[in-house]
Amino acid sequence: MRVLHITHQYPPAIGGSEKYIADLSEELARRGHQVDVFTSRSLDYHTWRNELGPYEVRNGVNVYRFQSIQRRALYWWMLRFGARRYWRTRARRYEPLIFLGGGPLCPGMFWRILTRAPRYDLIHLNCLVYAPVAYGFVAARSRKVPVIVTPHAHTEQEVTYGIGYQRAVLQGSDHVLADTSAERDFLMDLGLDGRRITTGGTGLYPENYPVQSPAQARRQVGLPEDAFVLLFLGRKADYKGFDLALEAFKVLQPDHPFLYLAAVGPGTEFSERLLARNRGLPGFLDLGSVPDDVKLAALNACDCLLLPSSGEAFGIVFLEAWVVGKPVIGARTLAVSTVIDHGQDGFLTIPGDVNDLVAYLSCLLKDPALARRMGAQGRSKVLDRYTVSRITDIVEGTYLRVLRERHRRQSGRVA
Amino acid sequence: MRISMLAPNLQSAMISRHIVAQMNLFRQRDDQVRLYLPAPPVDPPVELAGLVFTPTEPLTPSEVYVFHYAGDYPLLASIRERDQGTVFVHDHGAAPKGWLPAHYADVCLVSSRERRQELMGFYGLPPERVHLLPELDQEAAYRAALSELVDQAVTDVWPPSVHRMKDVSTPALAPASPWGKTSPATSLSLVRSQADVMLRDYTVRSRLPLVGGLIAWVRRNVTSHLREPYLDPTLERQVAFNRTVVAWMEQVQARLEELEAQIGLLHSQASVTAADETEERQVHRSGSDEQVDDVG
Repeated sequence: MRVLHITHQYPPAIGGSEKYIADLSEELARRGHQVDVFTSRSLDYHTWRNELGPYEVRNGVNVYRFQSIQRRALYWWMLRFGARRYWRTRARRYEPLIFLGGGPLCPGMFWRILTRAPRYDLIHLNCLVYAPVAYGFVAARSRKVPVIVTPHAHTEQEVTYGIGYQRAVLQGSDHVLADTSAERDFLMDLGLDGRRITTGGTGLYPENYPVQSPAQARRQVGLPEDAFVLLFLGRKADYKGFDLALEAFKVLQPDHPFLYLAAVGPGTEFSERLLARNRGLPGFLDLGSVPDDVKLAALNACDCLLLPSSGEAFGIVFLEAWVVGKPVIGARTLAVSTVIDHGQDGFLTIPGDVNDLVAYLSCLLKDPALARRMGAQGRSKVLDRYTVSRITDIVEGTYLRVLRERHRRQSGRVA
Repeated sequence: MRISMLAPNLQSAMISRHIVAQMNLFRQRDDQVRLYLPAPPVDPPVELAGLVFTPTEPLTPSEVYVFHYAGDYPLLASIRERDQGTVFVHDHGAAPKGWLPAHYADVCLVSSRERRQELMGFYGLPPERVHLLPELDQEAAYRAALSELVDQAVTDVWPPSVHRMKDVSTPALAPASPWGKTSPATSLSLVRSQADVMLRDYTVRSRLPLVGGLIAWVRRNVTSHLREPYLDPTLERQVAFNRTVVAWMEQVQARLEELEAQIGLLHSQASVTAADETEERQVHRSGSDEQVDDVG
């Protein structure tokens, strides 16, 4: 198959949806398909600054990067103004402002899709919230190439699926790949036909996550060997629940002096304010953004991963914790509740409820054997269901089903 | 219609019975059917004479492909090349967890309720694509179900895609209906998570330089006389009410599950009692017959 993937950013840019599309592209290329990726030259979604070269071959995948219009103050103003008015009025006249302000806008990419689309068997669009999905859709549709979209819709955040043009893409695509069964149900509730939605998900390469000795891992990240370590892993934005993790830790720490909380991930304005208020908190360690080996050490060093986020499309960090045998605690949102089996491989807490979080953490603190059992259960789930290879099977199967359906439609046997 | 069936071998009696039943059905429907095996069968059933092939070249193009799956075998890899026709996978459920050809199929056939549950629950296959076949012993039902599935699948096209959703300009997409297609447990969790309607993280801010702090302070103080004695307590009462309703719904749900379990138990007891009664009646009847014979 000849496949074109369109995405807002591609590694080395960091992010869950970037990792998803890169793993998928590389695995498909490894299976003998021709995979091209059209993306921006940016590493930073705040500015969409052009930092990377125009072309490279990454692990068998042809990556074409296009100049994007840099997001300066005017574009941010358009986005904020448009979004504010749009949610209030739902008037379509504000959609262009959100589209332009959201970005990344790569006119060269649009033109290239228009001219090259017929060379591909199908086009796969990644991450609905960003503009390339919208103009990629228009270009692919105008050349009548089958379109598949992975929206990564956060059901709790309407901005990721609910703007008019985003819903037009969902409705107009040949097939939609949902991250979880909850997202599939949700899209069906929005009016999409179930036959056009497949639950895919996200996977990882287990071999990239070797299980290390906790003592050695703790030495590497600077944690005592006999501590009970909680790990917060993710961007410290307000919806990710970093404040809840910190709050729960502050409640428990006085009674459990051996309790530590390590936070890994880039900071935000929100987290800076929060950390300024909690400077010098005993047992708290903020590691910030770290390279992969330190992240792996942090995962191996912890006793439990904590991500009480209220807005996750999937939560790949849960898989990362499970694969090294650690239990997880997440918020009981629609998507996460289909990933974590409550009481089996982790716990689900009421979103925004610190007391609930404290209760489950106390449970694990009292019974470390339970934590180990849950971690082992999670690891086995990842190995059976959530590897890149398994996820690529689903996507590859979906591509073939889309092509077959199109062939049936065109063959004339079907009216 | 040209139909290609692919199977690992004919050694398993159960798989072999399914293959023979399906091939007989397709032949009676006047379909051109072929069975592909990786190696020639040792003692093939007579019904399959002349229909078994061991391909050394690519498969003959067909309208329907039926892959029988109970574990990996060389021909199975060709499922990854099927970009035309309609693909069925008959999953016999014996394979270890791992690569699942059902992901590549338009329709997945299973022979047990448990396997169907596993494919939908663990592997995330949608219910529309996984079909439970009737028992082989119920020949008429088996043939009717399979025939209907094949006819449906070869003409199945998804609804035409449109460029605009019909309600694109209508206000407010409600969050997914908790009573939609999600399970009751997930729905209740969702309702519970939405019970707290307060925007607890909201703080009045202004981004204006220098005077921003002052503006935020004024706005906070201008609204506080309404918010603190009136709005906040009202909303908190609403939150408390929501939580009570959720707790009540959870109790109802638990009671419902309990009742369903009891009904299931009663059903099984009823069927056991019915079987006992039938047996008793037969014993009684044979006893009476013997008495009649004695009298005769």
